[in-house]
Amino acid sequence: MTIILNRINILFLLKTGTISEKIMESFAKTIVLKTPLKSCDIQKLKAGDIVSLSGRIFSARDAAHKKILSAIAEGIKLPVEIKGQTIFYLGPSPTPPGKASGSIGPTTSARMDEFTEPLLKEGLKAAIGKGARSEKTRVLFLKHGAVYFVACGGIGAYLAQKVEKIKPAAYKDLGPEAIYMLEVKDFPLIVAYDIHGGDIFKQK
Amino acid sequence: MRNIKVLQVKNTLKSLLIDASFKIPADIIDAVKSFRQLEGNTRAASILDMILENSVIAVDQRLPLCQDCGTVYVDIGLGPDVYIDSGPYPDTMQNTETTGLDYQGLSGFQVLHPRSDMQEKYQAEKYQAEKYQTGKYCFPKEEINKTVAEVYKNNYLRTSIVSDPFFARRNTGNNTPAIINVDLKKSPGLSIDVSLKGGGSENCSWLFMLNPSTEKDAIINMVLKLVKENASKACPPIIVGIGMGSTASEVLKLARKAVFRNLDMANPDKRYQALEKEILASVNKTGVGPQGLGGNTTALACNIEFAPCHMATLPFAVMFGCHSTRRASFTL
Repeated sequence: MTIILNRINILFLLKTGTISEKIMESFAKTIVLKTPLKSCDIQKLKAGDIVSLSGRIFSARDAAHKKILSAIAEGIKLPVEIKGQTIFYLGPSPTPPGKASGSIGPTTSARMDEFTEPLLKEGLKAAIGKGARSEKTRVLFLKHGAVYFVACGGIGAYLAQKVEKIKPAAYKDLGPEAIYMLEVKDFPLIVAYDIHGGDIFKQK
Repeated sequence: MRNIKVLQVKNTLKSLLIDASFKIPADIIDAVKSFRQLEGNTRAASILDMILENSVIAVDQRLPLCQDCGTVYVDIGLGPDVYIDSGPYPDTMQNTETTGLDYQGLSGFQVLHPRSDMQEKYQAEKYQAEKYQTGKYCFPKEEINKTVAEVYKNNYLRTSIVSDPFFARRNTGNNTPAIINVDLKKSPGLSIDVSLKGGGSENCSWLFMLNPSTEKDAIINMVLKLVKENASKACPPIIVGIGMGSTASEVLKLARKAVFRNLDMANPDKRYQALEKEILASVNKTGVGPQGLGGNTTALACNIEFAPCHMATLPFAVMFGCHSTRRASFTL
């Protein structure tokens, strides 16, 4: 019974727009960005800014990073061009029939720390994940003029509504760990590390 | 005797898995809501709103609450009256004289002596396995895994389990094996508890073998240090699960039990209850906040599960659960 009451409660809040309005209010100062991100876009971002991102991005997590790195080391052509790219640390849930996307959300970025430098050297412009990263990685982002965004974790169904299209792009044998191409629209992000040394995890 | 067929277990498990994947437990929603009222940080408040909105969208759109559909834990509690019928399957049950555990070599409290009895045990196991292969019995553990595989495939849930931890790390493609634990319990019936745990929060698990003379402040500071350094990776607001006592191997299970304990269920021991409250209050003063981006809502709860331990030890385990701590239970 409590479950039902709770659902009705939230549904009511949603129908009356209370929740969404509140979320929208807090996003009043949203910075609208389109991929591919340009240097001038990144220049104006500050840690803590709320960004609404649209356009094409690619996913990659642990296993895909490993493959990309060995391809870079061996000088093999990469399946996805890294230069100017935005990479989302993500393993989506499968897309149900008739839906644009399955659930979407960031995985812990710190696990990708050891893979980040070669990608930044290749020209990676932005990464999307969750959680703080090592100090060394933060400095690397700074050095290469790249930005680190965080997306809210654990709200996969909510974020799926911001995805217009998703399909595997490379390393399909890795299943959920493959590289996916995503077309996102108004995807909510928060700037965690800007290129001026700002760090949201130290602001508080 | 309560005769429970494996098919019944499978069907219950199926609905529990679906329930857990798409619906946030009511107690967690209540906790998020009440913390939302008290949250002074706008960004933190909007994240809590998104968490609430996500719980509605997940049900409406039938999309999993989180893209990480987790490791499946299935905890089975066997009451004293339960007899698991793993006989002819699925439901062509006929009169058979077999008992659930028709284990000839090991009945009662017979003490196992090395060699000869081990040999006997081995023979008995081999005999059982052969019987199973002839299709006369089903193996409940395997049936549970089959159910997990079926649910993950049919409901478009992400499969996150890899075959071996170090070499191939190939996705098993059906999210099995599940972590299955069977325990004997006092109350009647067969209880099934399903818990889904994401990888990000699972990485935030620690075991400490403390000195039994460790003071309370030291314990609290230890937990605070873990929270400050790691909580942002575990999707806060987190649930701080703490296991105390028992042994090194068991205390981690206690910590996991603590993570998945219903938030409405208070610790029956007043001393531990007070400690839980104290830890929760200090964790929420760290300023880590939802998603680690600042705010007062770093943890929704701190649960402690404890057990007696050896006089020389104080096993202490900490495990974080994410805000999307998914669970469902039923007793047959």
